[in-house]
Amino acid sequence: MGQLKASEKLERLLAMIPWIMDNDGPKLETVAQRFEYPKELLLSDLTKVIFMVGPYPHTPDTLIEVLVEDGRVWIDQAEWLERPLRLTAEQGFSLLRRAKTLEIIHGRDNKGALSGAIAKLEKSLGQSRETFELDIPELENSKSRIVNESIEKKTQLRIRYYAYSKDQSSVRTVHPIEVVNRDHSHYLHAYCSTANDYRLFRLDRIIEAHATEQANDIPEGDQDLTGVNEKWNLDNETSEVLMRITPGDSWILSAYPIKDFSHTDDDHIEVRLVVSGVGWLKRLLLRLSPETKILESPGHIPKDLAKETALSITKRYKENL
Amino acid sequence: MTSKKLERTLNLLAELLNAESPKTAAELKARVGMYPDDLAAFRRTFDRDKNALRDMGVQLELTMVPGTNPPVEGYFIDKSGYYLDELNLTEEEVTALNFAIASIDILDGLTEGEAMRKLGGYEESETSNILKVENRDVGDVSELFDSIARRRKISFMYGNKNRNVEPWRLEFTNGRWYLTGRNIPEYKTKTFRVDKIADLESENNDESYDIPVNPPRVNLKPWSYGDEEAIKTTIRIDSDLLDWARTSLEIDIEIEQSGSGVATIEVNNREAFFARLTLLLDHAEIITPDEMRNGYLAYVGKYIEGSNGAA
Repeated sequence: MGQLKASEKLERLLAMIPWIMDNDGPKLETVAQRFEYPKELLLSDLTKVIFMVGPYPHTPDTLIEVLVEDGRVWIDQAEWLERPLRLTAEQGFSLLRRAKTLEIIHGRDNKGALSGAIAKLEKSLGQSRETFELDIPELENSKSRIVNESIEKKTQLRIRYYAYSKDQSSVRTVHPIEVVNRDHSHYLHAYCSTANDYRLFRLDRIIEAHATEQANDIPEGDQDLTGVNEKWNLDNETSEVLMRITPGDSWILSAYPIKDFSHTDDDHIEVRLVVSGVGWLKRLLLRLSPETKILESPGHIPKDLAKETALSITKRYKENL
Repeated sequence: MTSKKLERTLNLLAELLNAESPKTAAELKARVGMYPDDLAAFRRTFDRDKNALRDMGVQLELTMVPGTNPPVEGYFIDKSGYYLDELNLTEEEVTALNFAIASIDILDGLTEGEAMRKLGGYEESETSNILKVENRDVGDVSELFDSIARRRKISFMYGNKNRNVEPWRLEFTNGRWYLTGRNIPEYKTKTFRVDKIADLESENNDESYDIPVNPPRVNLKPWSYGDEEAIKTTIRIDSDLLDWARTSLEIDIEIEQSGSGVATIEVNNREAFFARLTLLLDHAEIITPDEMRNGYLAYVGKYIEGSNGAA
């Protein structure tokens, strides 16, 4: 607990005074800890500053009374400060957001302390579950709970993961660090023993998660986690594909990473697209016009990929007539 | 803040919280009794103290002093806006909130120590963050939160159009914040993406409308928007993609004994539904009705017949 800034002293005293008045002589040490106020400074500010505060005419009957005895403190004649300053909109929003997010992670328990606190906060902040709500289904399922427990315990996880870009699943051992939200989805940030590097795994693509008792064991040279915010490593190997798209599909120029594009004489567009995986490209092709053509692609991406994908879908229907 | 300045700011607050009517700067100077006599120095010091209170969230208003002629402005704090409601949080509830703060880290967001101290105490927790939340794209979300709390009408620019709205509900879904409310003047319920709201302004009148008991939830299912006759469609999804389908399609899925999942969806826009279903590639299948099965096969069939790949 270092030195307090001016604004911090004012804010903490205004929160602390109502609490002291409400708690019948709490210990100075408790007050100092609870309100993060250095004990020596607290004693000095209570007896030399607060003691001199009150409305006009500043006579003994209007000034705040502070009594410090046997390491305990009592405050009286401060009815105008008997309740704290209300939460600002930012504070209320932020606190309720965090509480509700944790409630999603742990599961709502209407009799639990967190749900009770949320209900009281909502009432005080003029909100309800009908006016302010968070819907994050990927944090609610049992796998997500296993992931969170492993993060808290710092133990390894065995996961089976569906790689969207490759349209494949694989089994991996990971050392979970945290869950982060990026680009509107939630990911497990973990060290992956299979890749020998950090990876982000989208929570709703973890097919199975099994907790282990083994503590996280990230190789020493890889323990620097400072790059977590810059890393956006989704275990992809990118390649480039040159496609001819119709004018109606020009939206992809701003939606996806592209190397370059040019307009053709017949108003079509030739675009060199950065492709994160075959699975990703399959889905994109089925969103584009059937007239789309792949002009150039690496060996593992067939030029008739859309047709191949459509055939694999229809095959399933033929098998299940 | 020196002890003197802290004492003076608190005494200013004491005057304002004990006043029944607005007090002029001169009155406050005289009553607090700690300001310099020199007028310029007084103004500087008084401004600093007012800013210190406002920075903490104290709503210090400048308003006309009743009965003055010529009119004179005075400072006033509305007590009903100053004090926190009696929350009666139990120790367990305070601990639960502190745990939430320790567990959920909102990047670049507020630290909650100040809020928790107002609620009865902030406890540093040894719990490591289990979730880090990006704070991007939240736009004016806390201001909207406040407008809903106060039932204040708002106006903003949205897609080059000026909107006047009674805000009803803030909802975080599909990774984004959405606002649902009643659009004035046509009084239609509309949903807006918060990150696309610009130039937000809130009216000053509190309690200027009522929020319905069950304001509608955000509907992000494109297949439900359409004039086509609704058709109940049942799909089967492979076990590997169940969770992803649940979050991506926002559907309830029943798990079968085989591990696959079955979902029944009401479709009002077939084209939109088929487009979304292609995301599941060959990991899903329409089971019933035949009309939808055949419709989807025809939709996908265009890519078999199409010129794709014939470069």
